[in-house]
Amino acid sequence: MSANSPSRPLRRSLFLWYFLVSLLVPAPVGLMAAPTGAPAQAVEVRDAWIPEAPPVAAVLAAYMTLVNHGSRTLRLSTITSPDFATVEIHQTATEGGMSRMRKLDELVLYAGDDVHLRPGGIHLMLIKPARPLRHGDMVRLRLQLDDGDSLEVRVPVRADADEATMPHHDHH
Amino acid sequence: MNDAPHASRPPASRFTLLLVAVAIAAAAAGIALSRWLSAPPPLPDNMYSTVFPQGRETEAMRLIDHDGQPFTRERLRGKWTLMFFGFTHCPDVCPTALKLMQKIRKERPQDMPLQVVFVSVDPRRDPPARLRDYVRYFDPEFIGVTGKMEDLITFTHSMGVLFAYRDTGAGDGSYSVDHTAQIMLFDPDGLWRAVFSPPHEAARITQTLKEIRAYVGE
Repeated sequence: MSANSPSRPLRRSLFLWYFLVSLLVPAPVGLMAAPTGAPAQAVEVRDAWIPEAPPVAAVLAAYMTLVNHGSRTLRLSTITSPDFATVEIHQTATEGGMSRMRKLDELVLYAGDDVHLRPGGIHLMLIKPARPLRHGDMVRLRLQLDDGDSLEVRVPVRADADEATMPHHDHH
Repeated sequence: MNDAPHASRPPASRFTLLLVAVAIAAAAAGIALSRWLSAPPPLPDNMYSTVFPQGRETEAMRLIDHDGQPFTRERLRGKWTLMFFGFTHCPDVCPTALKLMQKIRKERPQDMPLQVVFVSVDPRRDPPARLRDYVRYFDPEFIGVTGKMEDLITFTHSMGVLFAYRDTGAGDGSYSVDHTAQIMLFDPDGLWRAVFSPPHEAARITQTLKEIRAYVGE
């Protein structure tokens, strides 16, 4: 044991302290996707959901809010899931009465900012489901950030939600 | 002696004349009032719909439904029809529109027959059987319709409905479809009657449907 490391009792009490604090931190309201990474991560995923789709559907969408709590701009371009062959980032825009959907190469998450993925806008396009997905199923998504960090989230499939019933975070 | 009846007639005819005049005036007022009271409801007037005072013909509807049966104007008669154009490889806009139309069907006045038709403008990837499974997930009463490319183009273009394919660039031949996001309304004569423009909201479309029905009187 080196001289400048904390004494054993102190380390133990620090650990206990961290543990107690972690119990006290309330889960954010509406948090449905639980990040499983142990270290505190700059990016938080909130309100993630996948609308249940017809069993015959070859593509599904995932919606969520990405919050960058960190002080650096991060980029998200690679998303994988064991439940889908491919996951891409797409944006829908309906203007002049026309709906268009385009693939985005990446999402830029500015420090301290939120990016909203919601019906009629940006979404994750989940291509070729590996299994039929019904209401209540959980889909694992892995979001790889450009700083080397990655987020593992579990996203619920929901049949009971639509744009009108999902929370919006327009006010900030 | 001939004068006697003449002498008594003038006051009587004056009175009769007065009575007739009053009766005519009353009748005219009554007619005006009843016309005013029974004036047809006005055309809906809002910023998200365009309603035609008279139903309009479209180019021939030579399409097929999700059971492979011909889908022509005859299938629109006797009920109101909401029609949306899209494709099943559409994860965002089309499911959202279908859920919205399911909501409208649920919230409409229950004595208003209303069918929902989803026209796939992507016949290569949406054969009838696939289309049937897709639309029935949203509502077992929904009708999926598609057709030969030239027939789809003829029908859609007569309403200004556009669609175009766009390669996604993935190199695997996958493509996306740009498409008109308006919802079209057909009346029970099978004529094109209104256009609902996005962004769509179920409650206001339902309200406009009630107003159109009152205007048309069916």
